[in-house]
Amino acid sequence: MVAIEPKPLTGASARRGRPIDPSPGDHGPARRGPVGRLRTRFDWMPYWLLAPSAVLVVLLVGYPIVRLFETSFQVFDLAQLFSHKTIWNGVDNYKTIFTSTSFWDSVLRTVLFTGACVVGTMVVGMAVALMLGRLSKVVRGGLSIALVLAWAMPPISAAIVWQWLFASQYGVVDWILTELHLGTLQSFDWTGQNALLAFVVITMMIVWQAVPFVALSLYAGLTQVPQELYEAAKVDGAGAWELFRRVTVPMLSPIIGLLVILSVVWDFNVFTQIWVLTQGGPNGGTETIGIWSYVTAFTGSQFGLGAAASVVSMILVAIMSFYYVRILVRSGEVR
Amino acid sequence: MSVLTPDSRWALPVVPAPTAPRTSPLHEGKQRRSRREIAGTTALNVVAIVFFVITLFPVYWMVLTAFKPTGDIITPTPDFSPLHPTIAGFVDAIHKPFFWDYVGNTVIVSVATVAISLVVGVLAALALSRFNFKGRRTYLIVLLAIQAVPQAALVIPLFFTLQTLHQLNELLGLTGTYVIFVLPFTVWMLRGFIQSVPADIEDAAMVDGCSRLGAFRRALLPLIAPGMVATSIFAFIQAWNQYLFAYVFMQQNTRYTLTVWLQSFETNRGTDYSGLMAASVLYTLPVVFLFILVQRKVVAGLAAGAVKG
Repeated sequence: MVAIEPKPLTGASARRGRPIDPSPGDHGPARRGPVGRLRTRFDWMPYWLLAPSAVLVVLLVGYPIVRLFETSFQVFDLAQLFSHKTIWNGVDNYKTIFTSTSFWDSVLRTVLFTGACVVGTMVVGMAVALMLGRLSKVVRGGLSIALVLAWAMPPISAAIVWQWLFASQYGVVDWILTELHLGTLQSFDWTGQNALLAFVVITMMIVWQAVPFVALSLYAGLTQVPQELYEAAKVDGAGAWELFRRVTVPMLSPIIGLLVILSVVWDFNVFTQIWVLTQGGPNGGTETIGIWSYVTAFTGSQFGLGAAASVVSMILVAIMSFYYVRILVRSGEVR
Repeated sequence: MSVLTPDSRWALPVVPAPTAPRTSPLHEGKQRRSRREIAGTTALNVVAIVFFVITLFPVYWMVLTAFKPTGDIITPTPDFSPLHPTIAGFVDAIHKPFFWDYVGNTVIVSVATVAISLVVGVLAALALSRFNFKGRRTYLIVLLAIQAVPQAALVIPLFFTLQTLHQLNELLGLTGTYVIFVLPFTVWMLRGFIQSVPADIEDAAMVDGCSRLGAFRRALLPLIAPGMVATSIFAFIQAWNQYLFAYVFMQQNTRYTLTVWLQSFETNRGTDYSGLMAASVLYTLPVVFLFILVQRKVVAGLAAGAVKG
């Protein structure tokens, strides 16, 4: 039996959210202004410094969000877009979307898609991170370069290349699968016929681009786990799986938690890649909440309904990112 | 630690990274190893090479297709080697109508976004890292929260707002929408860099007769200059990669950015993938180059912050 108490690396106080900073130069923001000690008057300086950004935040973020809420309580179709007449209809838009099967389908799809992407990313990312430490120098260097290149690809380029890889005419994936005798797939339509298949392609693309960040972060974390822990566990007779489960995972749990939350928010918000590959098709089969609200608003010209769906998606994201903010606050990052 | 960035999978260093210990548990010394271990390592290296191929292949395929003559692209058996490279695809892409307009639009909007975010951001970062005032924490949390907002949710109200302001199809309006996500991110990143400089330096400058702002400008600014460069690069990449807002707000075909142009790339001869891939390469190259310059800061920062707990 191995029993290793996971210990935070920087001392017990790190758990309790007391700001601990490894860098010697950091004195934290909590210190007063340079001469703050001597002043008794109210110090306006920070507010002046903050003012320009606060103005931009209110105008560019605050106002649109208020307007989004407003719109979600209005009848807002093409006619209103041009006539600028406001017609309030209470919670009718919300009633409509909550009784719409296509909306609930999009919610379910978003949840499943996000889950698949996050699980895929974390599992593959962890595997790659563990692998990186055990490879020969050349292979590790090569793999790192490949990871960074995949990571650096702009989402739009990635989507376009994947479209070409999975093209029904002369797509290279069709050819490879046929050569490997995994089926004869000439002129096979990956994204246009079967929504599930389309999601498989999109998920693979997302995972491909998400793995580098997760793998390299976990790898960087792994290099900071004290080796004595592994040695002690080995002395106690732990196998490779036990070492992973009882040393690696507990030691890395803070970073794993953060990566999971970041991935959940990122994958929930994916729009570009889905839009480029399928535009929500076939038959709305790949419409996530974001795509549903966009299509309803801009293709169907029902801006009120689209706005209501957007409000719902914003609330869902807010709930999820609450945990993210809490982690940062507790770790002393938001001081 | 880290900051959410929409549409790009980064987290950013706020805490400067300590250097990782040289001897990690993963790279065990050259002890004598059993035959079984050697076999295991070899197998692992083989698996890694498979991973390498899968990871790199889409990038390779993009570059390869870009350099192929059209005749070599539409073949029943794909050609995997770069035997007859040609720049015809690139010539084709550059001579598409309005190509230079798209480059210009993208560069103008990206640079303007970075400039606004950097100037406004450095002031905010100063306030948030050098002063203790009421509302500081709330403001930090607001900045974090903004970055989690789905872009797709903001598209509808921003569309109305830009319409009211007659800023649809205008670079200025588009820049405004880009700033929404780039600014909070810039503030967080700059705040990290400022925090890593001891405030004593400004105190000393003030003892020597500088005003408070003078101390920031003369003592602090030179020290965070490298951090400002890194921040600008990240901000620039984010703006360069932006797709959704440009797609919705720039409806006129001379007003597209490169991302919108790529997505709507018209192929002359049905499947002119060499032109499309060449265009993607041209668009991707600057970003990859800039990203590699600053990439190390990302992972190191996250690991340093997160293992901490």
